Formats: sequence, structure tokens, C-alpha cells
Amino acid sequence: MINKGKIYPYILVAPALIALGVILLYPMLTGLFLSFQNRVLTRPLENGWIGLQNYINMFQDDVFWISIVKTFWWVIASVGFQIILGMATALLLNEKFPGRALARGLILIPWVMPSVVSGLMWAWIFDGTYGLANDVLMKLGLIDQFIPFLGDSKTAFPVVIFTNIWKGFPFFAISFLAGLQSISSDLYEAAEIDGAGKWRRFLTVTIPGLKPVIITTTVLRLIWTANTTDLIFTMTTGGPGYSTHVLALYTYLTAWTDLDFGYSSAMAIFLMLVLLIFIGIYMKLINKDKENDII
Amino acid sequence: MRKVLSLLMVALLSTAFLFAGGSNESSDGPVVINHWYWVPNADVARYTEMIDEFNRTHTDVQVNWENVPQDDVRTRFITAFQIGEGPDTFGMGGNWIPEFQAMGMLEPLNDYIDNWDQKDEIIDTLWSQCTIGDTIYGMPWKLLVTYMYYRADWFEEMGIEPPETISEFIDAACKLTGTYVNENGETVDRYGFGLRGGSGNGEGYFIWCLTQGAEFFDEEGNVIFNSPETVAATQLYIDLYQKYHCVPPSCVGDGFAQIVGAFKSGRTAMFNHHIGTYVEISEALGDKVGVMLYPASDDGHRWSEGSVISHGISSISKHKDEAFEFVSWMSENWAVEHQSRYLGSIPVTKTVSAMPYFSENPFYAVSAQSAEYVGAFPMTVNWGGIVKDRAVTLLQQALMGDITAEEMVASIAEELEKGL
Repeated sequence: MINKGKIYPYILVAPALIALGVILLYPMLTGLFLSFQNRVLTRPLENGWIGLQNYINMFQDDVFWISIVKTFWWVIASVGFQIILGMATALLLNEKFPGRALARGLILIPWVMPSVVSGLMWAWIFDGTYGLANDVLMKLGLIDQFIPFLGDSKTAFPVVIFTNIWKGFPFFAISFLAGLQSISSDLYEAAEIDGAGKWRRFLTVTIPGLKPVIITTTVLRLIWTANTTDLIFTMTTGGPGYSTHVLALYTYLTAWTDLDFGYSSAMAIFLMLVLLIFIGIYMKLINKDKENDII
Repeated sequence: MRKVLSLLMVALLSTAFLFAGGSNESSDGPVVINHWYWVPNADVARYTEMIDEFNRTHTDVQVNWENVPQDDVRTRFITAFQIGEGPDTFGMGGNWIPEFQAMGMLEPLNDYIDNWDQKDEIIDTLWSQCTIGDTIYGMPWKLLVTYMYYRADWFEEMGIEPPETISEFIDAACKLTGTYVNENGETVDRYGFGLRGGSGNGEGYFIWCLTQGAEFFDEEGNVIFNSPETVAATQLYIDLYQKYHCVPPSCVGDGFAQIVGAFKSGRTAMFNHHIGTYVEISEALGDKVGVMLYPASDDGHRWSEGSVISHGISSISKHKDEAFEFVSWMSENWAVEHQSRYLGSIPVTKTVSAMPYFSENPFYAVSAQSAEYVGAFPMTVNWGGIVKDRAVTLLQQALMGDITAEEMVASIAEELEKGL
């Protein structure tokens, strides 16, 4: 006789598990199977299992390695500057000043704006023929000829990273702000009584207090940024040349331009494995924090 | 037990709702044809007039048109088909047919066309771009031929004749490059030619090369793109940016919007496109704009790309007869005239082509003249990928000096080999 009390919780969580299976597990397994297949939509007769060939091709593909390097800098620079800018903004918005509520609302605009709109907007601002940025720089006398920001491999990548920083920093700002408000003012007062200056209070009270928020937001943002295609696709489509060609975009273009879903899936699986390492680090850090709390 | 029964009821009801949707026709009403085509916002009203006219004049078939954005359209067609859905009829760019056919997406149209009383009205040469082997997969609907727009007022001011050859073209582009005072009294930079180096740059590059003697295949179908003529033409194209500096410094990243915008705002003196932009350009510049044939090579060889936009019928459509009724109507005189006149394209029927409106309009006249030299791009399965992606990246690398003209041409030849 099955115990009704034991089954009931499983029934309750079943819909969520089924939804997760359909939404997450099924596509993931399909991607994994595809990565072991030759699956080019325009050549249906040649489709079939090819074992690890897609992965072997991947490691021999120069563009793949270019994309890996670009992805590394794309993620590190974007998320790094977003954290710094987000922290500075959060500290500022945590202070009392006239119009603070309005400032807290306005700061969200880049974050809520769709990526494609942001991309198009900044692409026109940085346009090399009649972009606003060039016009302003020219009027300030800082340049004597328009700079083709998105048409030059030296400037295109910094420009798309800048756009991503602009778009992503409010996420950190708002998350850190929420974290700041949860730190007890007693801790600051105690530190002040002990003679800690502003910088010391920031390092010994603010940063430890924000640590769980910093870890969670950073890991989330690392994953999102590594998976981003829309912003770069809208602004440069990975060009000029391969100067903004990150791995997620390469995966997308391989699937939807070359219609090679096998090779594209192999790259996507590789990217997922790399991201799993970050998730592992995140889990470890979070668990360590919990253990420390218990102690 | 009661709970289990309740869950079962909910599941059954959900299933019933699922099966209740999905049908787009009633048993005794007209057949509804779902049609996908991309139309810019400015042209939606005129395009809708065509659909409305069909629906007004046909009681047994009604068309439900969905405007799919041009950038997504190829991808959405393919995705929808892969899951057994998608439209009954759809528009196709010229180089999509081999790809779609290879994926089994297209219904052969020969039997339908044999019984269509208007088939002799279609300009004979257009069928080839819709045909693979002996099988026709598309109904020709509009023709776009690349020519060159130029600023007639600036040419006149500087006493320059519209260039006939590539050498004259480069000479004119260099003379027109510099600064000038615009209507607002501002001194602004001007460049001779709006070279498209960003998204969609492939077509312009290939036209440039084929004009100067490059060829894709020999008579046996072997790839012969990697030739001294192609390398020389490629180097000259790169030189426009690196050596002559007669194109905007931003050209490496410039796509369609930037090229058209630069010409309309008086930053460039020439750019190549087709009649699809003539309404927009004319409205912006009036009689300051002129059109000319794409320049010939110095030994007089001309080539221009002619792209036939056609309508296809999905191989999984349940209403193929009705679908053909619609796409054939779109290739008949009323719709062809409406499309050509108000949305900008060269008419595909003989009767409409002969109308004074088209034969006397300089934009249409130059298009028709260009059509004499027109050729088609390869009909291979990977051409779409080459022209849309690979050539874009390679040209950008070559313009920036990351690869040589020889390397670029060799890479494209390699890609062409893969498509055989």
C-alpha cells in the first residue's frame, strides 16, 4: 500500500518538473544529440551520426578560436565595468539627495530598453558618416575627421562593449542598492566608533554585506553576457571582419545562415560546459557562505 | 480518487482546447491562404491594396497576408517548415530557391503553369531564375536590376560626364571627393562613391568583379572564380578605400541604411542599387539625382545583377490549387502594374513593360537598358550563406588589410566549391 502522504508532494511538484523537462531538458538533449550529427538543412541526404567529428572540426576551426578570445574579453570587460559602474551608482543612489526617487527610476531605462533598440540607437550614435558622437567630438575640436567607430576593427569591439556596459550596469546598480538597504546601520556606527574611515567602512562593512548579492548578480550576468547575440548582431553582425565575433554569435550564424545545426550545436554545448564551470564556482561560493553563516 | 479524476478532466479539457484551434477555414466558406511577404512600412498601404483587390475579386479563396520583416524572413520560412507549419505561399529572393528546393520546401509548378493562360505574358528570360533543372519552383513577380544612382547636379557643376567605364568611374569618384558647402552653409565632407562594406555588401562586390571579367563557373560547371581577372578587380575595389580614399571612411561597416542615408544627405555622389529605392531617393533629392548603367570594364564588358523576386508554394500546403490561383494572379497584369508603379520594380509582363509610364520614366528606362546585360548569381545551395555572410566578412577583412585580395578570392572560390 502506497502512503498517500508521501505521494502528494510529488504530485504537487510534478507540473513544475514536467514544465522544466519540456522547456529545459528536452531542448538541451536535442542540442546534445544534434552535436553528434551532420545536420545541414540544405543537404538532407548527407545528414546522420558522425560521432565527435563536429567537436574535432571545432577545435581545428580558426574562427572558433577567434570567437573564444573575443568572448573572453567581451564577458570580462562588459561585466567588470558593469560591476564598477553599478556599485558607484548604487552608492550614489543610497545617499539622500533631492530627486533621488526619480533618479532611481531613470537609471533603469537602459536595462528595460530592448537590446535591439539599444543596439540600433548606439549604432546610429556611433555612425561614421553622420553619427552624433562624431558630430559632438568634431564640435568640441577633439577630432578633425569623422571616426568610423563601427567600421574599424580597433574601435568596433570597444564600442559594442561600451554599449553593453551602458545597457547592463543598471542591473547591478539596482541589485546592489537593494543589498545596501539591507545592511544594518548599526554596523556602520560600530565601525565608525572603532575609528574606521569611509574607505575602511566600505571594505569591512559594505563589501562583506553585499557579498551574496555580488556573487549572484555577477554569475548571472556572466552567463547572460556570454550568451548574448542580439546587441552585437544589431550593431555589427560580428564585423568588421571577425573583430566582434563572439562565440554565441558564431553559433547563431552557423545555425541560421549556414543552416548547419550539427556544428552549431557542438559549439553551443561547448559554451554551455564552460558556463557550467562558472555555475559550479557560484554554487561553491554560495554554499561556503551558508556554512560560514552556520558557524 | 476524486482528485485524480479532477486532474484527468483538466487534462482532457486542455487537449480539447488544443485541438479546437489551428483550423483556418470553415467547411463551406472560402479557402484561406496564408501568405508571407516582407513590405517596408512606407509600402504597406499599397501592398494591402493588392491583397484587398484579390480578396474582392475572388469569393472562393481569401488571402491572409502576414508582413514578415525582411531580415527574418528566410529564417522564419525555414524554421516554420521544419516543424510542419508556415504559410501556403511566400515571396522568395532569387538566391533562396536552390536552398529551399534542397530542403524540400517548394512545390513544383510546371503542371500549374502549363494550364495557366497568362504564361506567355511573362518575359521569357525570367523563368530561368525560378527553375532548377527543368522544374519551375517560383512564379516571377518582380525584377530588380542593379544600376547606379548619381548626383546629376554635382556632375554638372564639375563638368563631369556620367562614367561609362570603371576607370572613368574611379576618376569621377576621386574628383568628387573633398568638401563642399551644403544648403545650410556648412562645410561638409563628400565622397565619390558609397561603397557598401557592411551587411549586404556581397552583391555589390560580385557585380564589380563580374563586370571586370570574373566568372563563377566554366561550361562544365567547374569553379573558376579564382582567376587573375577576379583578383585584379578585387584589388581595385579595395583600392577605392585604401588607395583612392574616394569612399566614406565608415564604409567597412556601412549597410543599406547608411549607404542610402549618405547619398540622400549629400555625403556621397554615387551608389549602386536598384529601382526599389527610386521613390525614396527621388522624394529626397528631386531632379538632383540621375541614374546610369553600372560602368563597364575598360574593354567594354558590362554585367549587372538581375534578381527575380518570385512567389513559391509550400510543398506541405493543403491548398495548393488555391495557392496557385493567388500567386498566378499576382503575376498577371493588374497586380504587376500596381506593384511596379507604386512599390518600385521592373514589370515582369510584356504588356505592362510596354506601357508609356514605364518605358518613358528614366529610372525604369535605365533599368530596362541594364536588363540587357543582366546575369544571375549562382543557383547553388550555399550561395545564400556566401553572399549574406562569408563574403561580408571576407570583404571587411580585405578592406581593413587583414587579408589580401588573393586570399579573399581563394576563400570565396573554396566556398563555391562546397556548394557543388
